[in-house]
Amino acid sequence: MVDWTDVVFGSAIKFSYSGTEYEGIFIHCDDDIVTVKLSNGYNLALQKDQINLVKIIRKAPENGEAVPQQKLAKDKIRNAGKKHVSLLATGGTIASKVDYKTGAVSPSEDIGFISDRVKDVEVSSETIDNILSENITPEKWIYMAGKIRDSLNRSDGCIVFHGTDTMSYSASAISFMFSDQTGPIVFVGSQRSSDRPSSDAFMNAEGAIHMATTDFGEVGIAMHRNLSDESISMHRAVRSRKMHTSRRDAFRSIGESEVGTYSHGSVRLLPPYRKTGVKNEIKQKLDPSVSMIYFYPSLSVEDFEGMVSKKKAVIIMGTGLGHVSHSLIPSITQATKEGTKILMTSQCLYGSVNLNVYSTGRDLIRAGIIPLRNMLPEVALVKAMYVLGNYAEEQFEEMMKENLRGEIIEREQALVFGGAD
Amino acid sequence: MGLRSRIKIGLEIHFQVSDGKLFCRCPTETSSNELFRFERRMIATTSEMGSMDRAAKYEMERNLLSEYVASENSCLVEYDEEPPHEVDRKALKAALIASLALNCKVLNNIFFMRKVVVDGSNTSGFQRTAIIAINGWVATSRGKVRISSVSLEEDSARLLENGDGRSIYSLDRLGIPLIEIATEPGIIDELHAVETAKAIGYFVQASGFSRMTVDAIRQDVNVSFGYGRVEIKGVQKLSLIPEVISYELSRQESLHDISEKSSQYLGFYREEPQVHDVTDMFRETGSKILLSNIRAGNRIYATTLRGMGGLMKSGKYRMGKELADLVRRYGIKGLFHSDELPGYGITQEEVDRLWSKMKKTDEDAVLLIACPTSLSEVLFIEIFSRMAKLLQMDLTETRFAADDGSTFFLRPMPGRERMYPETDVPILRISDETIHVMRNDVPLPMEETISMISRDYGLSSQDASVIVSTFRKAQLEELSSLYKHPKIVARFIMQTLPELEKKYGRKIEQHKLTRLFTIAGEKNWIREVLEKAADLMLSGGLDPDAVAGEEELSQLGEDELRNIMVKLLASSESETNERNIIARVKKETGRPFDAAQAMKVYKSLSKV
Ligand SMILES: [Zn+2]
Repeated sequence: MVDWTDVVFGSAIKFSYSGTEYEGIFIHCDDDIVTVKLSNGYNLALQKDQINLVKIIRKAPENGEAVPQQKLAKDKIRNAGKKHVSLLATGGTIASKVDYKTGAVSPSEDIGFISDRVKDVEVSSETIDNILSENITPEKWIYMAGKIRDSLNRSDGCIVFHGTDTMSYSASAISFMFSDQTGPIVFVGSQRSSDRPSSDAFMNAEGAIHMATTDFGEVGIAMHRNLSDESISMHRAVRSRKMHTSRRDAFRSIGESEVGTYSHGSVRLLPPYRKTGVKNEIKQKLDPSVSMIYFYPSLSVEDFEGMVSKKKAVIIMGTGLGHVSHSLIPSITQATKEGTKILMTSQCLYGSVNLNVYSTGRDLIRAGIIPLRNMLPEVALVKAMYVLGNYAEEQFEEMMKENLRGEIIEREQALVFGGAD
Repeated sequence: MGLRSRIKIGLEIHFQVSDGKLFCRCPTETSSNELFRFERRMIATTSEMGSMDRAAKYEMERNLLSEYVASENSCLVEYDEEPPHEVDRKALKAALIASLALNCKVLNNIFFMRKVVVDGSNTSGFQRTAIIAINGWVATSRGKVRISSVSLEEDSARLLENGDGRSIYSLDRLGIPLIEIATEPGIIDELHAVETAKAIGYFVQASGFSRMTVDAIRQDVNVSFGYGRVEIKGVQKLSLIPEVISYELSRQESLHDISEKSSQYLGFYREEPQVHDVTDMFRETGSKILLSNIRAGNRIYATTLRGMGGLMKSGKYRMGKELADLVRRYGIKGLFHSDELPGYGITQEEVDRLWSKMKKTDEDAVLLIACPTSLSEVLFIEIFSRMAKLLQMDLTETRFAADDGSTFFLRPMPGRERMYPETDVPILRISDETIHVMRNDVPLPMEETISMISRDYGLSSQDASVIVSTFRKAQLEELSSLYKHPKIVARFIMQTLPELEKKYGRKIEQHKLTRLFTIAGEKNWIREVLEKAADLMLSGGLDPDAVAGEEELSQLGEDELRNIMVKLLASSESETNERNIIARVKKETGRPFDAAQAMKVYKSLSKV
């Protein structure tokens, strides 16, 4: 008597259901559902108590693979005399695939799918992590920075496969850590996993690789420019933001134009940008003792103080020009007296905070708050970690206000406000 | 003939469901407004089994650019810019009821799959589809036909234009729910196929929610004559089924003869076919097609097909068309073969030179193709492998039906590698109780419905039978509820409308028809006004509201009738009488009138 526990993924089986015998391929079995694939490709999820296993026709190899996975991965494509770009994979949708047993999308180490598309650049790849990007931590940024430095030391540019959810945070952290770099660092993700024929992963990676062959001496994020598989935008990491949950063109440059585009095989960079330097220099300390508070009407003093306590720095996302309720001002005053740095950004994302216009703002200044002009809240968060980690405490305010990597827009232009073009 | 005796026919019938799209809340109907366009390039990927589907690979190698026209009834879901929303409940219900009506076992867990389609007809590169029920049957006069499955899937984007390596699709149709019913290959012959399709169609239509437009019902015919299953997609009308099957039979008979004949010549495999670049031989050619290809930077390639002389196109032998179909899928139009040369501007002298260069004997054929260099390798590999496959009588493939009943090659038959799980849609659980409740909604058998219609609407049983078997029951019910003259409605939808649509070569959309009958009901139009209004809508391409205000539509009053008749009676040379008065009045006026009323007026006049 054969039992479902004896069957391995990929085995050809005969089973009976609803009075008829069928042949199919066994996929999965759990407490009450057996999943089988019919010869026409459909999976059926049948109640275990209604399906009978007649026999195993052909047993699949024990590793559970019916057919050996097609190995597209190539560690390296050699193109003599061509630019060399190193690819570091950290996980995310761009390097993920469907787990057919659980049905979930999970990270994959197979990043070779991209190699075939880029013939004019030599690409070498390395998987340095395998996570969904919501699980990123400052320690991982530090590790990532070291890996990127090593890659840049032996190639012309570096691209980083990363999940899109926190890609702006990671790219900003890397941006602050590199005070000089010999080649472009381009983060790239995708909004549609690469198992789908319509995936944006292929085009995004192709664009990122070409961006990484230029003299762009900063950290950028390369993603679809609009809904078409036609052009790729590169955004300055410290001005980028994921502004849509699902669209291919989810990433936007906030308050400034994109810094580069790729289409039909060629890259166009839009100055000003920092040119590549002569050495890779990183300050690889980050102090994670920073919190971020999104102010909202009814935010209680107690909750606010809970988020502030034991932090060295707190980024507030205030309303409008940078305001919070008057009820919080005593707590802010107390915290700054005790040495906690409290910094103000705006929920508006576009535009600068200005604490001189309304009385609340002036009271906040008196309470010791540091306004961060038009710096994006998430960028301010990782910048505070970077400044706390690498500079003396008395330099903190000055460094936070200084425009280190283009995170502050000095002259905001009128035409860059808005979403889709 | 031997082939015919081995006939096996199966059907896959698709019905659109009208209640909005399957995975978003966009409506089924839309205006013709274009919102914007975008472009995609599909990449074939490997399946859960780790291998690449040959149909998907084939489509990808064509590497077409797809351009999408966003219609008003489309949103981010159709653009593949947002994951699918919940399955539309009404569509699911319609599929469940149809399943029960077809005596199927409804599955307790509905599991959506992605069927990879990289020809661009789906923005995602796959079609979402789930089996709802399996293992049923439908009764026919020649016994039960087994139903293998009832599926619920999303319709594909509508092809607007195809050519130059680019396909343009409208998103108006993408995502409309389709109920697909697949039979086992147990259908006996062509007529039985038509009967089976009607029997299945009856139940689906009667289950409600079915869409009533031109392409709302589409058939795929699966047929085999012992040499592999051929799936013929897109058979638009039931009446085309016999033509499509007989076309396929004669095609397969011809291929069978070609296969035998070419093997007598020692065959196609005697030597590896060589491809030669012969562009230089045609620089001065009079052939417009070749010359324009050369000017566009394309090259002319030739290859000798051993043992294929006289089999490309002569008498019933048509290997040339098999290859032309294939290369056309790559956007290539310049294909010539030796059976049609000299011709098309290619002279005898050019042909002689070519034959001698290609060492062609009488047994051989030569193929001449103009195409871009980048495509030549993949194209010739496809040509040689298709020829080898056909000569071995492995005829399994997917074909497409043209309007005249002929068919052409579409792609290789997809394998199971083409499917993998749709992870964005959770498994839907259907409880036994839900199934039990739905049994109440299962439609009556056809005979009972016919007598019910006949009784409720006062129609003859013959008319009722036509209404039911041509899937117009729902339409009759809807329009009769708006305009309370069911006999006029029946005559209108069975006769008047089809005739007018044929006359003007265009169709009235369902929502406009609904509006027309709403107005007719409100204004209590007589039949003649209604018919005139439909005529005006079709002749002028007008909306019902615009037509309703037309002078031409206003019914003749009694005085006007009288005036016309007085004039007629006074002027006619031949006698005006009871039998010709109506026709004569019609000749005099373009406006509608009530014949009974006219007759009354005539009688009152002739009494005087
Ligand atoms: Zn939609």
